[in-house]
Amino acid sequence: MENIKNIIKLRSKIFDLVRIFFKKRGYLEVETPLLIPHPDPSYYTEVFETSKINGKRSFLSTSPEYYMKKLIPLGFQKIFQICKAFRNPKEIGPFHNPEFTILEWYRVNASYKDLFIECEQLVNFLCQEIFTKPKKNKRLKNFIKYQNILIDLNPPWLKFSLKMLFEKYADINLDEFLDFKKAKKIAQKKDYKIEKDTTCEQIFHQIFLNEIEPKLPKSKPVILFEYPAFLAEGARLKNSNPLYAERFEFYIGGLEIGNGYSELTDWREQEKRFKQSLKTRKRKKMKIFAYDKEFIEVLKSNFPPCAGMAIGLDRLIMLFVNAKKIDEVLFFPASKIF
Amino acid sequence: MSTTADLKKGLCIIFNNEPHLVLEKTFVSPGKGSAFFRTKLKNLKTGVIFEFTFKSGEKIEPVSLQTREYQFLYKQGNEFIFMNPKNFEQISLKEELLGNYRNFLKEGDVCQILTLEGEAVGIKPPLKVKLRVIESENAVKGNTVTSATKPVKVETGYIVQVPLFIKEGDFIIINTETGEYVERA
Repeated sequence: MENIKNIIKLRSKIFDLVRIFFKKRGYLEVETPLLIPHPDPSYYTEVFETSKINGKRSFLSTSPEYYMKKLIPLGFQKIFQICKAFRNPKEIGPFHNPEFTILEWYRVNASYKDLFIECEQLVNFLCQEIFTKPKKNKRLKNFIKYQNILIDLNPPWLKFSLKMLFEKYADINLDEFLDFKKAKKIAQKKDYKIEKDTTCEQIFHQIFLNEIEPKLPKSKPVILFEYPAFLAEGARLKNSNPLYAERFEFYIGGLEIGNGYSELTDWREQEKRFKQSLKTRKRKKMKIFAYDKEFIEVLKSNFPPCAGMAIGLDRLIMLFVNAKKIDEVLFFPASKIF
Repeated sequence: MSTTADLKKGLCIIFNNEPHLVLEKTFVSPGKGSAFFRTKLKNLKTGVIFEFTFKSGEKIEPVSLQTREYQFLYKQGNEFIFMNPKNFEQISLKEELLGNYRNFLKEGDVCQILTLEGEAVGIKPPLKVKLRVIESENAVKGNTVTSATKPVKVETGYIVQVPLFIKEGDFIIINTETGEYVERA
């Protein structure tokens, strides 16, 4: 009981600290709706549908991304939000709760590489403010212990491109992998099962989860950058090499904490991706709905270059309290209340 | 046809043409990726334990294992020899396949052996075993500051850390999974 009380207090403190961090840097805190008519059509997350509003289908938001981006053309340079997101999982696991807390921010005239630095600074700021007692050993400043591993949070973090990781740990040339036929062959050679509805994303992540993720260093946070174009999501493709997207994720102590990218601002490309995602959803027999045409209109109106980042706050809190499961940092986890 | 939805702890599946026991199963899903199941598998031919992540929905091939009571006779090289007490038929099991339990078997013990097509592939250990302490030194004075435990040897030859009050001749309970002392019997 004492433990859960401490976690409730710590969550409140972390929310305060996040607000201090962003407000000091000139970010404006914004709010966007959680109940929406056009959810993100990405085919890897299923949405919760609620009852109709004004005759229109409504859904719980899986991410504040598109609504926050709609605010940018109003002239805001820097915005952030702490909100809930809902994803209907196949199963409740140790790192997933169907309702979770997202910290998301956007910055105009910035790229994914600027976000690397902001993530390093945010995590180090939180660590310093949470553990205010000076450490006896000064060299251990900004170190935390998670699941018996001592992690040095100090910048710079380790940075690996996905191309480099696939080559080093899986002996795969990711350039070749971008051709779906070749990817299937590579996976079959490694004895992975390919079925009729297997997607390129599934092959990529199965190899990543089996051969790469377990080998990522844990004594420092790790930034994985430049995902292949088929995993671009809302990210801009690299000008110098459009086979890869300006998207990254970061891991601390083996936990996937955040995802960020230079935002895609080309409306044609965005519309194409929405349509493609919906096609895949249909094939996978997932919920089908209309994509957000209003967002496409917003992109048409001189949308400035910007970068955006999302962090799973519950996971970050797990790290600071050395929790093995997400349930340990929630007062009412779905596994208990349902 | 079975899929990953049927995966569960204790299930035996054919994986890369060999029987494997599922020891653990966890749901994982990258933020921008689909659902997967991370499992811990034990190869029942070699005893090797490793992790493998399946795509959610991937087909799997379960096989059913039989459980039968056998009596442990003796150890020969790295094989443990068991006997069916009903028909005196003998069966052998590689040391690796016993896992931690190899440290707690006494001759004559009756245990649950898992078989696949007549061949022994594993053992279902009880969660706890009761064993007699056969060697125990008296705690060395001054040693209690850093630890209030001492090592003792039990009748199977296994050495375990116990509290200082345990004496030679005592029976103690040991957890077969962790290999740690639980309580005095």
